[in-house]
This record gives sequence, structure tokens and C-alpha cells, in this order.
Amino acid sequence: MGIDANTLIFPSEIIMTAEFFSRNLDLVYFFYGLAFVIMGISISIYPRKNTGFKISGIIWLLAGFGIIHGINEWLDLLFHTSRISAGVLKYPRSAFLFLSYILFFEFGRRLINLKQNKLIGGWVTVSLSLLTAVFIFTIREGENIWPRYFLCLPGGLLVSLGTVLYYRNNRSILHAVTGRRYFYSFAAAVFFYGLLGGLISSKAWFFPANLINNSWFMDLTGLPVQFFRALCAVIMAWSTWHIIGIFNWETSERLKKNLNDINSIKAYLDNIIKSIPDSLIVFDVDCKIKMVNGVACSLLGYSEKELIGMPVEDILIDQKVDEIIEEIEDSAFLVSKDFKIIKANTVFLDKILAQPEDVVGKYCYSVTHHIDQVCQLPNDRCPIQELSYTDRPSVAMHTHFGPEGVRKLVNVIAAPVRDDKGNILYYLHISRDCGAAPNEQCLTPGSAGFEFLCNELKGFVDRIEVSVGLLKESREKAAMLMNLKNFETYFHTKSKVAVPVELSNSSITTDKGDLLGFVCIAKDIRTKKELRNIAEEILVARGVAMAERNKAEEVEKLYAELGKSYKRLRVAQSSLIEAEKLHSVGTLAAGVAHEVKNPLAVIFQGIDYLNTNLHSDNNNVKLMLAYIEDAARKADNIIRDLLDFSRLSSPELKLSQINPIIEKSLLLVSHQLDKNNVKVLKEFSPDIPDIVIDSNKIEQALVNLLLNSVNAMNGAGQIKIKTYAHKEEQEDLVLVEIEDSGSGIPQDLVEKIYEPFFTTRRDRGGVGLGLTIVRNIMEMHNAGISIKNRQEGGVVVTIKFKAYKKEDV
Amino acid sequence: MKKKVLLIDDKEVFCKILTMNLEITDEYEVEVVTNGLLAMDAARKFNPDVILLDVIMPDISGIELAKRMKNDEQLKYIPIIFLTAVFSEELAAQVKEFMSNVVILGKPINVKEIIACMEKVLNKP
Repeated sequence: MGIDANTLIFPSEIIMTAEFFSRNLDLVYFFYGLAFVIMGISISIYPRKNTGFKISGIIWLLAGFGIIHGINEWLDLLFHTSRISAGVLKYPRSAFLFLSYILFFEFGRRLINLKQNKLIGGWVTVSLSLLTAVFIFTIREGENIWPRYFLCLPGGLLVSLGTVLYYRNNRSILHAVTGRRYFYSFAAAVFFYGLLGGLISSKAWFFPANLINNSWFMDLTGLPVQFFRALCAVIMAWSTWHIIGIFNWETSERLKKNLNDINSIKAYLDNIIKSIPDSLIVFDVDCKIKMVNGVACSLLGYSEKELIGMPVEDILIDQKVDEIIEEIEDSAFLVSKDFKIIKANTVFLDKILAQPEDVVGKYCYSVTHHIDQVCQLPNDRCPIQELSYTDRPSVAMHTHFGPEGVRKLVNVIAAPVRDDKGNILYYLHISRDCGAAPNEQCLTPGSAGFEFLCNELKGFVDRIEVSVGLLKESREKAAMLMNLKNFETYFHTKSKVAVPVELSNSSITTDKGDLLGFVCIAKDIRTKKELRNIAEEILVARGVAMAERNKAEEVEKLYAELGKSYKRLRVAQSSLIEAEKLHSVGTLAAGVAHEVKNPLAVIFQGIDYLNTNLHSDNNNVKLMLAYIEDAARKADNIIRDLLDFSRLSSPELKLSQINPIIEKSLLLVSHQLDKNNVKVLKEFSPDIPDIVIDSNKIEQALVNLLLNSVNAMNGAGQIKIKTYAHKEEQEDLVLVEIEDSGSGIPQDLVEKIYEPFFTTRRDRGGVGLGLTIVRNIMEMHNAGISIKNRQEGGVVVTIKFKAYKKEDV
Repeated sequence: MKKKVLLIDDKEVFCKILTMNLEITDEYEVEVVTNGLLAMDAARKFNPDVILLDVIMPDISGIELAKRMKNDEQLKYIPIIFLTAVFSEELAAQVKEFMSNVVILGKPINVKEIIACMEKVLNKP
């Protein structure tokens, strides 16, 4: 690319300028190369990962072109300044030029293809490169001309057009980011560079190089073409520098978006935290407060600023073992491994009416069981010893000694308290009275009550373990505290008030398991506790009220029962008296009968004899004999009734229908009925259940009742007999009603009718045993009898038999 | 021919009057035994057509006496009429155990009834 200035004639002023550049062409070459190298390097080093711009995928071609072509220019510079023999630099210079233009064309091709893929196939680049190579090797002259014609010129046009198209296609974004001018200036620079680099070559023998060449351009403009090319290169580099700023913009946009996302997540989290109704406190790994919500601030009384960085022990009251044990609502104590009591709660001490010094240091078995060795009895299994075998909370029923040697049955449960290495330090021993609550019974492993007690026990054991761990480093302690889930403790507020809270803690860890801190949600349970206390009070009060009411009810019930019993007793007593009376009567009757009847027999025989042999005209003699016989007959009747009465042997029960028995009884008294002109009205239900009776005895009773009715009528009258089935209090009954139209029972005698030897007809031979016998027969059959005056006059007798049921047999 | 009646009863007055009442009819010849223990011998000697036997006696009960008679070859076919002041079903059941034909009359009783009863027993085929 030598310029033979000496062969040309220039106007003097042009020659001056031309001379300057001709003489200092190395300077042009330097800047020309520098512009391209800077463009290439700046593109190369610009971060454009994860970009949304398609151009990022092909811009390396432009960078490659810039660097290689820039180096090529510097080689030219070297060629001009050092005057090294042309042969040494000829081939590298040509190769760099060729390669750079291949990249240049390829960039242009792909830039065009960005919008519409495969508009120009890759074969075009390959063909043109091959064509160029063919020309270089076949036509020995102009090895630097063919790449210009075949690659640089079309490449420049393609890149220029492609740039404009690219800008137009992405105007909305690109306009906002860089503005139009950089694209258009780049497009224009590339366009001119394509023309200047592609057409203006060194002089050669063939067309068009023989006409359009450096010399021709020098003649035309007075300046070497390299100057213009360098100018284009600088504009291209400058434009590119601005254009690649789009990647910068893109990154910043993405960062902005990320920041927005982060901000919205933060706002979201803040909202969540704000909406938590409980105190939320986040601790770092050193157990210092890292974050709190407003609820926590107001609960603790500190400002957020004061709280941040505060160590956990400043807000969490350390609970002593004593306090924890005191919190247990059952009798509880801690024993050492050798069964010595270390601490006991007030509940326990109150139960045995002891002071702490009375029990601390003593063996638990001596305090509770009054024995001098570990419980080994089968009834008093030692739950602590059992623990060492089973390693889980164990329950047992024990007889404990209360004050003054009172024995009490209790449920005993125990669990070990361990240090952080798992060694057993103490045992926590809890006992609960059996039947302290009405429904509470002795617990068995696996029952709900047992599991509940176990859980409670475990909660206390955990807290004691933490409390014991307090002796250690505070951070470790806090970590232990923080790993406890759901337990009740106290917050220490700024105003030095202890607020009861329920803590639920959780550790915050990374995906890899590294500890970041702890999050702790504290629920203020002042109200809950208060409510619980009130509820307990109510429960207690209700329990007392219930107990009192129950007691009152019981007393009332007992009283009623007592009343009933008394009545029953009275009835029993009177019937016992009566029975005793009757028994004596029976025994008496049997004895009397024999002694009386034999004399009566003599009297009767005597009367017979006298009636046959005493022939007297005195009518009074016959009358007298009749009187004697009548009196003897009465005496005989009395004895007979007494004997009947005493003969009430146990009934022979048989399944019978009542109607035929009534018929038979009526038959037996038919003579008396007819004689007194008494009508009988029968209303027998044909469909009544069987009854189990001794028909002879029932017959006897019915006869007695019927005779009573006849006697009560003093002449004509009516007897109505009714039978029917009836249901009373779920029981099937057979009822017999006998109504008469007699005189009824005088009101003052109602109570006496069943009394033995009570009769209103003594003068007419009544003995007063009829109804007594009737009632006794009914009692034998478990049948009820009632005799009442009717309003219309006369009495109604109602007999209630129990209907036969199969299962009665 | 008069029918021979053996009356066994410890109540002497009763026996006397009953004997008078029976013999007045001129139909019966009555032999009385007031001591139960002598009754067996008297019966064998007298060989009555019918025996009137009181149940309750101080030395031996009428039931026991009847049993012995029923076991006696000579006496076992003689019909027995029991007389008792204390009649009961139990008594009847007791008698039924060793006698097929049970006749019990309760005291006090008319002569007519006794005669009717004896006739009934004696006329039985």
C-alpha cells in the first residue's frame, strides 16, 4: 500500500497537506488501528451475560474484526516505519486483512439475519471467501484487492443496512436507551468504510483497480484514502462504545427490577410480621435481638432501637428449678439418684403438713411410705426404679401416708432429668390423688389421662433441664431455651414487671443447616391465665355447689327412702303382728277345736237322745232343746271358721282362667242367693289372659266375698261381677270387680274390715274371719284387693291378678 | 239281726250317749272301747260289722290303730268310719295311704248322719 508521492503533481496547497499526511501516514495508521482495536476490546470486555438483546450473540464478530483489522493496520504501520523487507510482512498482513473481512462480512450477514433468520445463508460467506481465495491464488497480483471487493464492500453495505434495520426493529427500547444517532452514525460510518475499504485499493492491471485506486483517490481528494478510513473507524468505535451501553442499561434495569422485587418481598414480610398478633422476636446466633415487631415492643416496653442487640437474658426471666416445681399443680419433688429428696413443692408439703426442712435430704420412701428401703412391694412398685429398665415415664399406684398416718391411694409418675450429655441428674416425681376429682380414677399406661400427665411431666422436665443448664455459658443456655417448643415462662419488661407468656421457638437455619438465629413467638397469656384462674375458681365453686346440691339431693332421697322404709316397716310390722296373731289363732284353733268339739259332740248326741226319748207336753222343753242345739251349732261354726283359718296352707298354683272359677263360686252360694232373692249380673270378658292361682283358695275367697255381699243386702238386691284385662304401669293385669247393692261399710269401720274376729254380724253367727281369709288368700297370690263404698250405695271389691307371662314359670 | 258296731273313743260320755242313741233304734249292738290299746283284742273278740274309730286318743291314735287293723288277717275286711273333732285334708291324705275307702265324719255329728253313713258302708257290695 505504498504511496508514491513523488510521481504525482499537486497544486501547491494540496501538496502541502498531502505531503503532511504522506509523510506522517504512520500516524494515520496508528490511530486507524487504535480505533478498531479499542472497538474490539471494548466490545470483548463488556459484560453481556443474560442479556435480552439478540445482537450480543453476534457482536463478537465485530469485535474480532476490529482487533484483527486494527492489528493489520499496525502491521502496515510497522511496514512503513521500519522498512522491513516486504516479503516478511506480506503474508501475515494479507492473512489478517482477509480474515478480518471474513468476520466483517459474516457480522453483516448475521445482523441482517437477526430479524429474519436465514435471509442470507452461511454459504454466501463461505462462497465469497473461497472465491476470494481462488482469485488470490490464480491472479498473482492484488492479493489485498480481492478481499476488499468480495467481502469488505458487501460486508460494509450489509452491516450498515443491518444496523439501520436493527435499530428500527427495536426502536422502542433502543431509542430510550441510546438514541438514534449512534446507530445512524455507526451505519453511515460503516457504509462509507465499506465503500472506501472495498473499492479504493492499490493500483492493479485489472478493472476496476486500474482506474479506481489509491492514486486516483489521492488525485481526487488530495488526501490518502487511509485518512478517511481511519476517520470512519474512529466514528465506528465511538458509536459502538455508546451502543454497547445498552447492555449496561439492561443490567441496571435488571438490578432495578430485582431491587423492586426485594422491596416488595420485604414489604410483604413486614406486613406479615406486623399482622402477627403475638410478639415476634428474632435472635441472631449469639442470642441477641435482631428484629422485633410492634407487639413485642409494646409488650416489653422498650423501643425497637433499644431492643435491637439486646441479649436474650435481659428479657427472659430465668426460671429457677424451685419455681418450675412450684408451678406443678400436683404433689411434686425432685429426688437424687439415691432417692433423697432435693426439692419439694408446696402442694406436696401441704399434703403431708411438713416444712421443706422436714423432707429435704430425707429418703423419698421414708417420707411417703414410712418404710426404710426402696419400694419393692408388688403393690407399691417404684416408678423410679422402673425407669431405669424401661426408660420411659412410668406410673404406679401407691399408698402414701398423709398427716397423722392417714393412708391415701395415689397415682405416681416419674421421669428423669438429664444433663446435656444425657446423664441422669435427678428424677422428677409427681403424685396425684386417686379420685381427687369425682371421675378420676387410677391411671393406666396408655390411657388418655396417663398420656396427658406424661406430656405435662415432660414439659416440666424439659424446663428443669434448661434451668439446670443455666450454670453453663449463656449462649448455650439460650440455644437450649430457644429449642424448647411451647412452654410458659415470663418476660421481663422495662418496668420490671414479669409478664406470663407462652413461647414457641424455632431455629433459623440455612439450606445447608448452618444456624442463623432463632425466631420466637411469644403469646401474652395474662388474660388466659386470669381466665384460667377464674375458670378454676368457677369450677371449684361449681364443684362445691354441685357437691352441696348433690348432698342435698342425696339427703332428700335418703329422707324419702327412709320415709318409704318406715312405711314399709310399719306395714311389715302390722302384718307381722297380724301374722303372729293369725298364727296363734291357728294354733289355738286346732287345740281348741278338739277340746270344744268333743263336748259339742256330746251335746248334739244328747239333744238327739232327748229329742227321741223325751216325750213332754210342755212345749218349752222342745223349744229349750232347739235353743241348746242352735247355740251348740254357733259354737261349732266358730270353731270351724277358726279351723279353716288355721288351715291356710301354701297354695297349689296352676294356670287357670278366672271366669270358670267365679262360676263355680256362684254355684256354691246359689242357695243363699236364691233364698235372699239376689240377682247376679255377669260381665265376663271372654278374652282375658291366664292367671296362676290355687283355684280352691280363690274359690273360697270369692265365696266369702259373695256371702258378705248377700249378708249386707238384707234381702233382695243385685250383685254385678265384672272381669277384664287391664294394663297398668307396663303390667298386664286381670281384674275382677264385685259390686253389690248392699248397705256398704260404715265409714268408721273401713279400717277394721280385715281385722280378724271383727264382725258386724256376731249376733247372726259371724265370726269376723271372712275378709281376713280373703285378704290372706290374695296375698298368697300376690294379688291386690281393695274394698270401697260405691257412691250409689253398696261396695265394690276389686281384685287385681297379675296376668301370666311365660317367663314367670 | 243286729249289726255289730265297735265304737273306739276315749270320751266316755260321748260313747255312752252315742251307744244309747244307736241301741234305741234296736238295729245295732254296740261295744265300746275307751282305751285304744285294748281295741285290737276287743275287736277280735267282738268281730264287729263296722268300727267307729276316733282319731285323736291319748294312748294310740286312731290312724295307727286303723293301720294295725288293716294288717290284721281277721280285722282287715271290717269297714272303719273315722270320727274326728278336727277334720283336715292332711288327715284324709294320711288315711288314704293305707285304706282305699276313706270315710271320715266330723264331730259334732247327729245320730241320723252316723246311721246314714254306717248304712252306706255296710250295704256296699
